[in-house]
Amino acid sequence: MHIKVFLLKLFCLKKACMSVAASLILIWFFAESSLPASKLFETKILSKKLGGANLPYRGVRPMGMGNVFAAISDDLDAFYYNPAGIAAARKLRISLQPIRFIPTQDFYDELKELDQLVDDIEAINESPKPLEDPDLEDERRRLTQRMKRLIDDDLGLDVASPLRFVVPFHVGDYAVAIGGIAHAWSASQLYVQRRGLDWNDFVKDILDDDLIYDIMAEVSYGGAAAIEVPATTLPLEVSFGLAARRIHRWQMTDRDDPLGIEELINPYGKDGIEGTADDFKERYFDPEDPLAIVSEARGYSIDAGTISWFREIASLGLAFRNVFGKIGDEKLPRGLEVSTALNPARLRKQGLQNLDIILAASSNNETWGSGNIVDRARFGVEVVWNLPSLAISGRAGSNYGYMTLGAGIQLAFLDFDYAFYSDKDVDWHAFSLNLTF
Amino acid sequence: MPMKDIIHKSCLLLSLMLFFSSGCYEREDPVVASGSTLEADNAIKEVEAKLEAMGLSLSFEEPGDLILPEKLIPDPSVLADEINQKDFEEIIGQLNIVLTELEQEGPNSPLGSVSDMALVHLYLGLVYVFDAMSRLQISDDPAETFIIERYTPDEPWYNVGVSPATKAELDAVQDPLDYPLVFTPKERQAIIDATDLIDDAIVRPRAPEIEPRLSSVDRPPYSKYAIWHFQKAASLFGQYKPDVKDALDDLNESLDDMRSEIQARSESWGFTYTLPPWR
Repeated sequence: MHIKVFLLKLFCLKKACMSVAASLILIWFFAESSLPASKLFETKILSKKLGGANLPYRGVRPMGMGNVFAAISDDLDAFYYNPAGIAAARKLRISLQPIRFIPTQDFYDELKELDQLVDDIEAINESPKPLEDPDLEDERRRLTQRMKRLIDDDLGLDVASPLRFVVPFHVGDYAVAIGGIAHAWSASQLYVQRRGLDWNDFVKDILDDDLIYDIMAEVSYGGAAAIEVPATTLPLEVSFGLAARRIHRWQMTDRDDPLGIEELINPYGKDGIEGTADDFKERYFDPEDPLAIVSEARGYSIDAGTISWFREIASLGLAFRNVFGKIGDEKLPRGLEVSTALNPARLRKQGLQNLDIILAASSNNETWGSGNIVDRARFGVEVVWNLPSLAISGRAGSNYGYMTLGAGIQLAFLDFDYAFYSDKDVDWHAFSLNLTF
Repeated sequence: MPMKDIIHKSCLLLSLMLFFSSGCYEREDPVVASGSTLEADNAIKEVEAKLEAMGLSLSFEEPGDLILPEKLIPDPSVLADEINQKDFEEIIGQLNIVLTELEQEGPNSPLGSVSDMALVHLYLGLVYVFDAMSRLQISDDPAETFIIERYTPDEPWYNVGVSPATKAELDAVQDPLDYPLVFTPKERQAIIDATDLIDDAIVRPRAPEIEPRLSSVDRPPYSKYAIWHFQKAASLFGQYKPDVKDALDDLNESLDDMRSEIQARSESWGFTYTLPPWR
């Protein structure tokens, strides 16, 4: 009896290890591949005018574990990470996320003085002689100090409120799920882009620096469908999913024509003539009505994905982003993510007592062909302690070499998550409260 | 929970923590911003450090100071201290390196920004004048020969004259050709060099036998002169902010007044003052 159990465990372990090893080899192959990403999938930077923020939608739980989720996708963030994941739903689920707030670390300090910044720009902009006007000395000094601070800061804010649902049912032997999604989302960034000589004197230093702003808001709605197909000869279940969204996006950005100190102190442009095309108000925004120049575009995106599960122990996910998609006249960048996950706690027949440990790794086509494996792949771990009507999670990860941490508490229908998420540019603190029924 | 499980889980968690803490990158700001090079950044840092050490801080307190370039001009007494002449030479050499780097062809040629190039020319113009004034003031050790001061507290530039004792000596000389002999060879060299630095002028004692007769700064790194750099700065600032150009044009006009004054003085001290043929 003991020998049989032992052999069964050994068999399961061997299968799981083979499955994960195969997945890891696949990730390694893609990550280490010297084939440029563009050869496999068209990768195009979004139009700066319409998609400059270029921030993909991120869930707070995945962010805590290195943003590796395409092979896990066991909650309704699957709509964004891998639509095949919704096939795993076993009952009707409705999820409302009234709070999803992802600011950068520097955001809080600067937010309270944002009005002051706009007021100072407005005052300087209204004066025909902004450099000479002695009444504007305070505004000029404040603006200089602000720019000095912004050089070390990265201000970003990513807020959204998604509403999602999924309805599972069966068609013959196949498990099928359909779902819907609607969200309002805004992602904004403000930072100083340094240019020119590295002067010790800050005033000289900022004369050619640029203040980049990128403010994006979108409303989107759509649906997803997935089907789970059991493999007949292998202990595998394979899901295929498709998600489509209609997108309505608003954006204002100066990425194409960065706003520098030079432009601020020349309110009527180089020609010094008011009312011409190079006036600050024409090129950038009217400080009295900054939202008047917001550009607006509509579009769509279609994502596809597949996940292969080996029992509940291991999985391999492939997510195809923006297989078809464009906003306005601009195509959305296509992407492929290869991901794998392993839950070693399920290797034991009984599982580890009340514990789930999910190890995951992924790589996407944008990173292939450069750097080492850490530069090309993401890694994540989630440890979940399941108690009666309560689950506590701890997460950690490596986002292309940058650390991420996270924690979550799930109490009945309430799910609170926090993540600290680093990328090559900034650190983010992410919070979300999810109501799932 | 059995002890074996606890040990198992603890080991697993510990190894996971070690794994994820080992691969974490530190974010680093780019060493060199676009529109500059490492050589240019290093050279400008060296320039600013040297000027600071000499008590010549050319800093702006706020952007409005751009239209008050005269605030950058120090009291002449600062230039009378025991300044190491080699430092000015090195500063000019470093600024020339910065300029060469910024003027190189780039994707948006030239590589450097208009404001940076304008500021480097402004620095060069100022340092040429500082070097000239400094040469005059430290050449007359131990006796005081040259008096350099502002015409009025509001004037940006300097009035270059001689001390009452030197004036008396000049008045006592019968033959105007012998006027330069009132000055020591070192002082005569300082007059020749200072005018060369400011105006690229060829200044020599009128009497052919009086030495020295050649400028000691007619060599690298002194490839240009103060007025040329100020004019370049004004022209570049004109592309950046027309008001700043106007302010620099005013400064250049008063510098030209000072140059005329020096020309008149040097001629009255027995020197010829000739502009080179290329000017």
